[in-house]
Amino acid sequence: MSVAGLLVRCRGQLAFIPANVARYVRYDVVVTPFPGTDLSMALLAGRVVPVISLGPSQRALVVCDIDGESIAVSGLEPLKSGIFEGDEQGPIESDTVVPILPIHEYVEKSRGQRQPFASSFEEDSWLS
Amino acid sequence: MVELNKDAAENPNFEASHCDPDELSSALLFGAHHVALKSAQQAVEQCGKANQGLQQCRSQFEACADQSRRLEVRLRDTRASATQLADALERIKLVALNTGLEGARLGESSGKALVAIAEEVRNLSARGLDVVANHIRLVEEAEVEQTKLVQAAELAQSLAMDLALQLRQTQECQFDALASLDMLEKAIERASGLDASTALEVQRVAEHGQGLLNALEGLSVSRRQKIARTLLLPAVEPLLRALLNTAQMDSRSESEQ
Repeated sequence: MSVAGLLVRCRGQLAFIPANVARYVRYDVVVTPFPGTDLSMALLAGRVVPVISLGPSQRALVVCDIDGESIAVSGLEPLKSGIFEGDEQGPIESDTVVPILPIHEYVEKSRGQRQPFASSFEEDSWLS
Repeated sequence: MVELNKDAAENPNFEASHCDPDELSSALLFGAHHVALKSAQQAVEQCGKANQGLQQCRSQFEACADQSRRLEVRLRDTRASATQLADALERIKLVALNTGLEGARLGESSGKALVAIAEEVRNLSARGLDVVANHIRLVEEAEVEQTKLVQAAELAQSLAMDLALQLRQTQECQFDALASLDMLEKAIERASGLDASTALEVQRVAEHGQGLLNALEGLSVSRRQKIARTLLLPAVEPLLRALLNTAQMDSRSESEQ
């Protein structure tokens, strides 16, 4: 069996983002912190995209598709993309299964961190 | 010592009898003075040449430091262009990553070729990035060496400057020594009543005489007598007669006084 997607390093560990989640990678995007939260935002192709951070600041920003919505993930170091040998657990690299990065969970967690004064952003569907 | 010589040179009433030198001693003094004078003159000359050489050294060190500073600019430019190259390779790597992702999304059947090309491009750009990183590291090392080179050239320059100063001081001391020797010459002339050239001639004659005696001492008694009788006596006899006449004239003039 093979799996398609993006192999990344997150906080020193190998992780995998499936191709149906990872859309593209961008370098040197200006990321602006969102006051009162751990979130940030970035302007990508003329659209404001929320950014969640999974580690120390890196040059790359991985733009993902979460339930039809663009969400950028920072703190990842993209290593390889393509089709890898593996199973539903993830690709196998050097006889080790690389775990799939639970981006959905991180997004859910970030939604839970929403601060009361951020109510003016309720129109942002991923936060609401 | 210099003060004493000064007194002797400047005071016309300086008593020759204070020193009480005979002619040979004066001649020896003049000989020593002559050697000292020549040495001091030579030292002044050598100092002047050394100073000139040092000036050339200084200008060479200065040129070296300038060249090194130009090298610094070149190295900075090289590093900047290498950084630009690394950036371009990173962009190619990014394109390869996104192409691979696109190929992966297309699926194994239709996206495999795209993924393969993307992988190849990514590998090549990664190799290029390694080379550029190594290049930048080498340039950084060269920059460190260049900084040390500038520092060494500047240090050498300042050392050469110190040395030139010391040489100049040495030269001044030698000029003082020459002036003192000049005064000493005058003092000896006044004390002995001999002028320097005559004294030197006397010394030379004395040296020749001493040399003759030494040579004779090296021979056996019989050969010495034979040589003295056949060769030396005809040559030395007129000289002996002249010396005896001079001695008689001196004793006569002394008894008249």
